[in-house]
Amino acid sequence: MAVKFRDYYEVLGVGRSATADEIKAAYRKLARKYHPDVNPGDKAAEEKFKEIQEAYEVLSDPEKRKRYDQLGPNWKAGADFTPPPGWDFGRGEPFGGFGRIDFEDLGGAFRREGFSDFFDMLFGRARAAGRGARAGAGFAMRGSDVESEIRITLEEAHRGATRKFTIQAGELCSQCHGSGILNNRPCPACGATGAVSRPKTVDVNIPAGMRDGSVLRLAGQGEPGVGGAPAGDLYLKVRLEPHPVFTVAGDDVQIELPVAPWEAVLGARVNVPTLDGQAEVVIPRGAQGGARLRLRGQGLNRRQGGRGDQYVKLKIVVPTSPTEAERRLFEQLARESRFNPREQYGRATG
Amino acid sequence: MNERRYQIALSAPQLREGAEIIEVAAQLCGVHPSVLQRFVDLGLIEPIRYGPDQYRITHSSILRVKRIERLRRDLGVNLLGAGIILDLVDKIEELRREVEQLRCRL
Repeated sequence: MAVKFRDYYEVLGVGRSATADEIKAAYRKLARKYHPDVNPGDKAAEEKFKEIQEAYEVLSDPEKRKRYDQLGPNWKAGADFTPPPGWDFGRGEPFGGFGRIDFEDLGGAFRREGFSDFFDMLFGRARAAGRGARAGAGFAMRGSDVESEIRITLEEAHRGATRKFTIQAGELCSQCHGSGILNNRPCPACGATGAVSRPKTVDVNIPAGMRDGSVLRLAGQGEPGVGGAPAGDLYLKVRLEPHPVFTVAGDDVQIELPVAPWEAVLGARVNVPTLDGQAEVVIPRGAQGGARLRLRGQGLNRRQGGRGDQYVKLKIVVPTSPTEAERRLFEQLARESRFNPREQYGRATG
Repeated sequence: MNERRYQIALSAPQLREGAEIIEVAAQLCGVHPSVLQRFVDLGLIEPIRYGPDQYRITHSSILRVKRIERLRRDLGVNLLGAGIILDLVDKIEELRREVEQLRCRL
């Protein structure tokens, strides 16, 4: 198995002679910057955080660091790595040597189980063996939960929908059934980790009434469990796509309706788009720009029944290139009108 | 009987997602119910109240608890610090989305 060398010192930005405290400080600093919970939705940060965790896992453990240092200082990050002749794989970690990586990490709430092949080559076989050994001893562990985002349209939030959603999820290796060991040898199909990562498509039933930030829980659609334990759950955070016409505020939607000056002065009946089609709106006489009209019960469906309202915000627009006849009419209006829109500022501005 | 049903209907809040009773929520978060209760007491999550002693934890809150627990474990921040971090991250996300929406309208 050709793997790429990883320079853990470079990842943490410390020298090879760094003390444990320096390594810890470097890890803390980088972890703060790249932690997935501080950078939601940023895949690059998530990958970087995994690298940092992997590097810290090795360099913070004197045994692992010593073993890593035995490779020598001449390796370059990214170079094809083959262990030096006589490399003792058996000195990895004996059964159950998980170090500080807890089971949650192994399951991978952020898919943290995805340490590199390089790590697995140096330290990972024992991890898998440990898992297998525990599994063999009747050990069972619920699969980890998976978190992701799903972007839906306003119409889907309103009416509900069924969507197919693909995630990169871990599955139990079909060859070794999660033990990591096949015919008393490390399973080649999963690299002895017991799990393989594959795209997984799930049907997501989006109930009507979801809003931006709502969370959907799909029970049993997360990472598989170990030793017959149930799978974790899939949590999908709903994100509403911006809509070209409507803006959303809670259960209400708002639309900006352009109206002509004479419609605002004389009143009018106009059709406006609604979530379900169109509705006729009566613009009252003397309506001002910015005024909001309410269409009761024309907003978004609520999860437990009922609907919000739709607001229609009037925006008075004028013809940018009036016809000759229109221009004459406006001139006549300007001559005859006594209306002073700036009356509140006094006569000086009249 | 009718009166009681009427009271429940009055106090039942509008939910925008699923919610669980505290024992189930604690199990889903991987913490003891008393820990979850502490999160509630500190105002780190807001339960949906149905009555004086009846409340549920929404799925958003469950995710929030899991995020706080990860921040504590990975970065060594304390409970309130983790809460502040998540509030700020959510605020940034809200502003980012507002910018996205405004750009969409340009």
